[in-house]
Amino acid sequence: MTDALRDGASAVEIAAAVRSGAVTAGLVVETTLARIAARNPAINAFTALAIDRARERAARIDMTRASGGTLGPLAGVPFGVKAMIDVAGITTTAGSKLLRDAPRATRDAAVVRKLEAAGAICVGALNMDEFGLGGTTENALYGPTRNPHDLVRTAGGSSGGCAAALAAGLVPLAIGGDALGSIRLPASLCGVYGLRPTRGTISRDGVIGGGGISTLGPMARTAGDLRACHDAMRDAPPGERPAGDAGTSGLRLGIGGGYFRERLDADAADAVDRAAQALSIARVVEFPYARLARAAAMLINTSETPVGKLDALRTRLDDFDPATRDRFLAHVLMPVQWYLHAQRFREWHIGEVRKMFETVDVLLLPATPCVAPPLGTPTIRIDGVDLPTGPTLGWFTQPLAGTDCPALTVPIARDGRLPIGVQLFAPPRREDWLFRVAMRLEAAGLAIARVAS
Amino acid sequence: MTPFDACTYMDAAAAALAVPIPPERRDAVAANLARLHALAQEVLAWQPPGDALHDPQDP
Repeated sequence: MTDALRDGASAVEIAAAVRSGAVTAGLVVETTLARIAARNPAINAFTALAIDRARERAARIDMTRASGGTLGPLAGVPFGVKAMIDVAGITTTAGSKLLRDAPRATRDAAVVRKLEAAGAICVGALNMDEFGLGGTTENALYGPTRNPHDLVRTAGGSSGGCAAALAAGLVPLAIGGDALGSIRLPASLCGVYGLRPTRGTISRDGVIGGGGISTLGPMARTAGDLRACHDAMRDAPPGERPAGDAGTSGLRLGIGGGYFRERLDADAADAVDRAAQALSIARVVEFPYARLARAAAMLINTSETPVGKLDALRTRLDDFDPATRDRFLAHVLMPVQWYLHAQRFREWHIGEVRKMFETVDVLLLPATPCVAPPLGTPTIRIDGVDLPTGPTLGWFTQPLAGTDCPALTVPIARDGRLPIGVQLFAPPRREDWLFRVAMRLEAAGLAIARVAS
Repeated sequence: MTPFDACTYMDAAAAALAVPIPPERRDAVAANLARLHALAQEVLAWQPPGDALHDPQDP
């Protein structure tokens, strides 16, 4: 058997094997579908499969190769998408009963088109909190997604299906969405990589829900796969230099202080400290106005999430998920001045963050305050204090959400213990710096995304 | 300053938007509004530097 079919094979390995003819795209897809059939019932990551479509695309790739045609950089690589992203032939439910009976999508979202133009093959849709409102992927329509590393624990959210599918070895790539941390948070709890790209660089064509500060982003099990996926899905500006593998030489690295050293438990602190040691970071940098930035981002997102749902709140309230129903009702009633003032702060704060980046290139931060809590846990205890689970899991992702800057969760090796990640944060359009740091951590053996046994 | 009364505000805003709040949902919706109010107080306490009476129409 070729290595490209082994459990945990990377996207880069699979694409190389398909391009060389060591394996067919058809066999990759059949192996993937068999893994999903065997493992998905336990973790509930996929909510819909595109079996015929995936087989048809695989056959097309194999025919292209057989006829001497050129294959894309992600040839034959299976991927899944958060259930808010249109896949032709699948109903885009966004995890909501309100959309369960909607017509199937007739065209693919732009990100799906881009990835498939690069040769990747979409195999289905992945579970999420209803309309992305939540951090634990406990969904009344489909049931909760379970963390592959411990099935009684949450996968995080709202892109929990994506993170769980990667951690279970179902697919090597997934596309999630992140407003307040919905990529970075589940990536940390499931021990995979997740990138929130620079806002505005990924098309949202064909995507349901999500407010103005949200963006789609790639998730993967290696830094190289994450970069390859990001390269394929983004709208690159003309003449942009390609990202290199130049290590971290010349990069000014810092570790977040103040807010980012509070409300983290021993696991989270250990992950950050080990990453700082591996990167030889001694300099502490204060992220400006973190607490206010968190409050403003939450108010902005809160105001924007009910847009388009007013009629449903009036007439189909019982069809909302019990986990989100009361929150959507509160959100739609929020005074506009709270939103506008939060936006004024955000605009000013972007300038403050720009000033911070005059002295540092990449900032190392915690990703989550702790490892994955058990499903259904209303509060989590940190430093002896019980805090509400949902907002607290996003304590370190939320302050970055309004900045427009890219942030990347890197999984830290844990010797069989539950996974946890760290965040890397860089100025707008400097994803290449994030990849360089992530690859250095990976090369040092500190960043590892383990497939759950 | 008058304390924020989440229930009174909820009833007025829900009437303005014609969104009925079922009796069994009132407490939870009001609690969510109170949480948002607490966040808003943090943000409203911030004023743009040198811009306390800024007119949004000004350049």
